[in-house]
Amino acid sequence: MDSPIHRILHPKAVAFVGASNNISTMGTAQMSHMLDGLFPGRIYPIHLKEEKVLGLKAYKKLTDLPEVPDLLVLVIRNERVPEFIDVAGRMGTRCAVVISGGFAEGGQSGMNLQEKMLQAARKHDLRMVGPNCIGVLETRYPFNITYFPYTLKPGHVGVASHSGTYLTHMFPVFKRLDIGLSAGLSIGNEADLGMADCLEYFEQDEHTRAIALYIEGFKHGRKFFEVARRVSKTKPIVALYVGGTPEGGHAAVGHTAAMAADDKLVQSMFDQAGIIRADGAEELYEMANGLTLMPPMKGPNIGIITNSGGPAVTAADKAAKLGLKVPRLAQETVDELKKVMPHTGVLNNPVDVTFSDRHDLLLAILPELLLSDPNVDGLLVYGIFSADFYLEVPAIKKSIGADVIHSLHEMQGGLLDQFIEIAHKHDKPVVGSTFLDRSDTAVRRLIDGGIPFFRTPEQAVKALHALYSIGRYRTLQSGA
Amino acid sequence: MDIIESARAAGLTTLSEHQAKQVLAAYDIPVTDERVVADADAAVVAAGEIGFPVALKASGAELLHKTEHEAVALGLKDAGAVRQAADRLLKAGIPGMEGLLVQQMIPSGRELLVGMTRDAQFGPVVAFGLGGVFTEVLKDVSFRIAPLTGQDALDMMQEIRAHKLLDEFRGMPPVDRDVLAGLLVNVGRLAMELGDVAELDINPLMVGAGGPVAVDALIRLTDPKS
Repeated sequence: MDSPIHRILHPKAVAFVGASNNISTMGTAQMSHMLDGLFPGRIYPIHLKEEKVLGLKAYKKLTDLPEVPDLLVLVIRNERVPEFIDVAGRMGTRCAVVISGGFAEGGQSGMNLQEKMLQAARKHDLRMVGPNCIGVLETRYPFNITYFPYTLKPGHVGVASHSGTYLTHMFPVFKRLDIGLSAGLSIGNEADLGMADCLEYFEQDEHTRAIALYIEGFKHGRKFFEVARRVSKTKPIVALYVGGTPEGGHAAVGHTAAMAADDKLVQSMFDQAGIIRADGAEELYEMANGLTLMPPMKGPNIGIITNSGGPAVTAADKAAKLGLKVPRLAQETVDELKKVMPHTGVLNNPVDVTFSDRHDLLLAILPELLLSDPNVDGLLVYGIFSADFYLEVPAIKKSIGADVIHSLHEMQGGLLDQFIEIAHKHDKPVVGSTFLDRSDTAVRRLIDGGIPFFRTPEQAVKALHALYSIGRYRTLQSGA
Repeated sequence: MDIIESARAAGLTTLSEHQAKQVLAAYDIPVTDERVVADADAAVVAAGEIGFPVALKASGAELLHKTEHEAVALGLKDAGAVRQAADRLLKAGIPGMEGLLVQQMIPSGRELLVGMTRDAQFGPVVAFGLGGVFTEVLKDVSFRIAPLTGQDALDMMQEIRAHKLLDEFRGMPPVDRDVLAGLLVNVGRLAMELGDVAELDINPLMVGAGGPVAVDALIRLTDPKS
């Protein structure tokens, strides 16, 4: 793949300016992650005084390096940036990540400096991410020059963000919600490469299955729209958008111009481009992750299986508000339900097993029945948990014994594997909702089996709605 | 387009209603049958050709928001009414008036708005919504970036809060959504092809039993300096 973003994420020789042996500086932290023993390239710290930086031989200037670096990383004072870009460009370097701030985000002199930097880059055909960003990471190569270490497994969500925090400070959230990234780019001021370039990279990247964007405004709005509209037909795009430019500025005489207020127009653009809009940072990533795991939903009808009324009611309510349906089940399905359900159970959608001890119902029999029902396009399951909590109950642990609890785990384990198989064989999305997390044995096993779990029933329904929107968009806009 | 070039040559930044409609007609957007005339006699002749009743409006490239100047007379049923209205308009001293526009009266139907503007971020944008006196009050409008697919146009119609107005309504048959979608797609095409057009308002676009007709239209040209 010959995209500049690809080259920036897979460097072979990195010249790093701005790291030292002082761990309180940003540059030092950002360079340190390359020294985790996994980064396959060569690292050349540039430092005027130090012999060594973080144990690596340091060089006084770029022209002292034993080879031409294919990536230049700058975490230095803003005034010095254009010069470094120019020197590297003359040497033959074609990529840079400029972390430094103090450019177009801060007034006229910063804007002038950004223009000067850009001219230096253009002269040498050098492409850059930044300035005013927190770096980039790629999880398989791997390569990480963001501020924080990435210790999670490589995943399938590609991220581009105007905010450095909404990339790097989310790593703990990714851990909690079991989300893995393919790559992430903090794109800062988008002086050169921007959102649309990231989309084009993720479109081609085989490991990226869904794209999460944090957007504060549109530097190249038209290009973004055109690229997003194409990419969303093959990979789901979720975006969190806030703020933007104020409306107006032109001499409107008609009604149309005056009413094209910013947020409404952006929402229309998202709808037209097939972009799912998230409401908050956690939702952005939770949703994007769910979309990497499940196929689009072919119709608006969701089946709900629950072990309790409350979550089913909130899920059904959310579904109605979003325009999804919780349909009656086919007569054949209802006939089957009569045979298998406990006498307290609810024999139609939402199917409520009412705290039954029959794990086989919740995990195998009901999912198979509902997913086989032609009235059901996608499935939400609430109420799966393991016997873990018994280990916390002294009376049970003492009188019944941990070995009994473990054998219960084993019995449930087989059913969990059945659930995973059923969930993936119908070409209909299946999502889970739980108030537990991967510390629960059963939830963990399903998450690891590729079933997305959401923090609340409402979030799970939102994910099904997103899958429905994506399916609908692709069907209706396929001729476009 | 000749109309735009001659307006540019004359240093104008807006087109007259009649000129704007000629631009629309070039993009297969149905417009009222109408003529621009200079005096009351010619107005009566034109009205006879078009067929009664007619509307009479003051005409001029820089004459915007005509109703504010009481520069419109509607539902004129015969030659006498046309002559009387023409005399009144000609004597009223309306600023920017260059002539009289005699126009076919379209039976009342749903009053919709179709428009376009150019957004600094996204380029040409097409708008659809409630027209007439409700436009400013309710702001019930949807947007799509040009060019539009047919599906974009259908989505825009469904997106306004009052979309049920497009179904069977007060004895009117439902709007032919495919026809209306075609019209919106054409406005998108106009926006892409005519870079000189900065803004377009068709308001109202009257949609009754006979299909959509642009009853009033406004076109502002881009600033030649920018």
